Amino acid sequence: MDLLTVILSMSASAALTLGLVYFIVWLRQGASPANLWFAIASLSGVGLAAAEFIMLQAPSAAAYGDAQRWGQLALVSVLGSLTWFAHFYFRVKRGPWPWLICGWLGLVLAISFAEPYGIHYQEITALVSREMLGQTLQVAVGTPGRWRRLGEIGAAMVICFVLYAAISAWRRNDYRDRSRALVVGLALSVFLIVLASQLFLVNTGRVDSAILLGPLFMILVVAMAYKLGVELLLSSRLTTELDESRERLALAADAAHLDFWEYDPARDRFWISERLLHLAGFAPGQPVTLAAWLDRIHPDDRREIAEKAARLLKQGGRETFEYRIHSADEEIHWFAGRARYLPGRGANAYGINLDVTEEHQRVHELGQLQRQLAHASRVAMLGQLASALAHELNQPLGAILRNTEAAQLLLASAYPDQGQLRAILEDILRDDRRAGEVISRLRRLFNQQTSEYRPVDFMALVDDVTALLRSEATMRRISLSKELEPGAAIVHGDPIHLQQVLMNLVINGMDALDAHGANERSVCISASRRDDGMLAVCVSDSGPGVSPGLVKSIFEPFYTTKSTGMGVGLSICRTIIESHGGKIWVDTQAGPGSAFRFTLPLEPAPLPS
Amino acid sequence: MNASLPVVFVVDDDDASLRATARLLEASGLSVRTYACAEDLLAGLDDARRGCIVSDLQMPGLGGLELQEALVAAGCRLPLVFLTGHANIPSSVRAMRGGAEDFIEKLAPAAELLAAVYRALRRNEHDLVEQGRRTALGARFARLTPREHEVLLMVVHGRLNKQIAGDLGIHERTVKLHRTAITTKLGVHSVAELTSLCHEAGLLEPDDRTYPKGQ
Repeated sequence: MDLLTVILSMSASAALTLGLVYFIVWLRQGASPANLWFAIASLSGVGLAAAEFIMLQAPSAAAYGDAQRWGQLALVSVLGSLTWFAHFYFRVKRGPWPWLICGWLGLVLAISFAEPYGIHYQEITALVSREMLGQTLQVAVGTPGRWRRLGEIGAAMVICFVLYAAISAWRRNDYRDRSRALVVGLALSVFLIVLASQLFLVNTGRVDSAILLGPLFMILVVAMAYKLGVELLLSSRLTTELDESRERLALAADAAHLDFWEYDPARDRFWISERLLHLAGFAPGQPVTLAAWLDRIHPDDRREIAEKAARLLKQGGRETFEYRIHSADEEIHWFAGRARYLPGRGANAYGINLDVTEEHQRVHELGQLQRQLAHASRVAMLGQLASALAHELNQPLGAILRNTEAAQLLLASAYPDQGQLRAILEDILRDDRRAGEVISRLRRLFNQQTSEYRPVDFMALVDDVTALLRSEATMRRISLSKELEPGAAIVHGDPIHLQQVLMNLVINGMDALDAHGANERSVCISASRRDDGMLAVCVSDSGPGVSPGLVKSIFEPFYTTKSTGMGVGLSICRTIIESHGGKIWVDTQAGPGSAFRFTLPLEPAPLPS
Repeated sequence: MNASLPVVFVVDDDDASLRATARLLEASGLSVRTYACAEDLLAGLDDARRGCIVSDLQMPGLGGLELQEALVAAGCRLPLVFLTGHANIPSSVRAMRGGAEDFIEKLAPAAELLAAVYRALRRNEHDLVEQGRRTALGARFARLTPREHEVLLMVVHGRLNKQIAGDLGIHERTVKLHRTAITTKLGVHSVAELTSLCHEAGLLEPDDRTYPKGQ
């Protein structure tokens, strides 16, 4: 085999291989059209080499001319696609130049197909055999074509554009752009300049040789192959770094109780980080669909989360979530999460989840402690009231006893008065109920350690409290009164806790009267609805009042001005009122005594039927 | 003197207790009047003298002990029986010092309450008899002239006629005449009888009243 065949077929196959590689990269990645244009240029280069091979062995001048025309097509294709390649590869700003160049090249091509011997020759007079690279090659001899300057101008335009593109990439001062400009820009320029000068020199007859453009393509192939290799290396390094960074992220995420997930809406598949996947009871590698995931969410949260997910997938944007998951070990885990989704073809939704179970547990435990403290203080308070409560209970019991004894006496007489007996039995029943109510009121106050929120009529609550404290007030010679706006006032709350607040405030008022031996001895509970949907309650006394300096500290825990007591009463009152969405404060302006005021949000009034 | 039946005045702020206590007392054959508060009782008492008061100790407004004070101030001498749901020592001591007849827990058996009420009624009866006697005595002593009264006091204090005559600057014979008038007016026969009568009339009590006021 001769050297020319080897060189031409080698460069053709190299161009073909590289062209295919770039074509596949473009097909798979689709990111930059530069890859496609280089593939086209490479394949055109293969065409060029093939045309030249035929040309150099052409049997006649006419055959030479034909082959040259097809070679011209390949050449124009190479130049045009390289222009576009440079445009995209060097990320040149949008402009008319590539279009202009391609238009020009198209014109040249049209002329070359219109002329009988192509653009280079007006007429080929003869074919001369030359010995070159160990083979006899046919070289055309004839008058130069009229239009060949156009071709030269076209080539010059491409060179200028490529240089311009490479230089502007270099100027961008970016590492990647510079390396591209240097390697690819240089190779492109050298390739084009050598190509143009060979054409120029041979066509003008300054050098007497056959034209061989195909092998020149090797310059570009080498440069692009080098670039590809470097990028491969880079990408493998990036892969390693990515793995490392993933590892670091996973470590940090694990420490911070963070989990990641990704959702592919097209395939309805979740990718979920391992910890969360395991927690939700999925086996590794088990496909997780949206429905399967929602199924693991606590039933109370499921609907809300499903609605949010549907909205996010429909509209895109960002969303925050908070939900519970029944874990595989039958424990409830709390999660707070964020998700993001930008709708589009092949786009995924992403999100992070933060495990906030511990925080929730702490809040829960704190609430439990507060309830226990409230309970302890309530029991202590009831202990102080023991003698009054015993009196409250002895009242109906004493009445029952007297009634029974009276009935016995009546029955002992010859003609017992039936009406009287009936009245006695009715009274006994009523007093028995009354005693039962006192006991059940007390039992509720003593027992309840959990919190139970429900709609409560606050006005009825005040009645309950005044009933319980009536004896205490009587024993202390204090008049306990109430001024309630008529009608019910429904608040959403824990009746026992709210009663505790009232009792605490009333007893505080009584203590203040005792401590200072006030002349007028009265405590008053008033409650009225405000326009802003709040219930305003006031417990006032005729004592000496709270000095303005104490207004703040009085609600602090363990603050007390009394000789007995722990000083937790008012702090518990504040905790209770605030957990009901209200506020509590001391009003020093209200009058001579002290006035403790608090507010509670009212339930919306039921529509009048 | 009022010859009507004795009345038990019951006062209790707790309606049920009031009714039950009243029923028991009525079933025991007593005549009862009920009041819902101490103020009503004070207003409705008029000048009742036969009977006793059964009062709750703890009442809003005027309490049991205040009622006791108000009764003393008004000169009412009806015995008081206190009822209490829950007795504490300081208030019981105060009540007893103030002259309360008794102090009964509300849960005490009927027998105890009735015993206390009967005791109070008996005391009231006794007080009335005593009072009547004193009134009668007072009327007898009122017949003495001032000089005779002077002589009487000296006699019961053991002074001899001669000493009395010397003290008053009168003749011993005049003293004898006064003594005869005294024994005649008071209807006694001996000095011992006279002394006992004066004692009964309260003339010999340690207080410095020398002359019984007419009652």
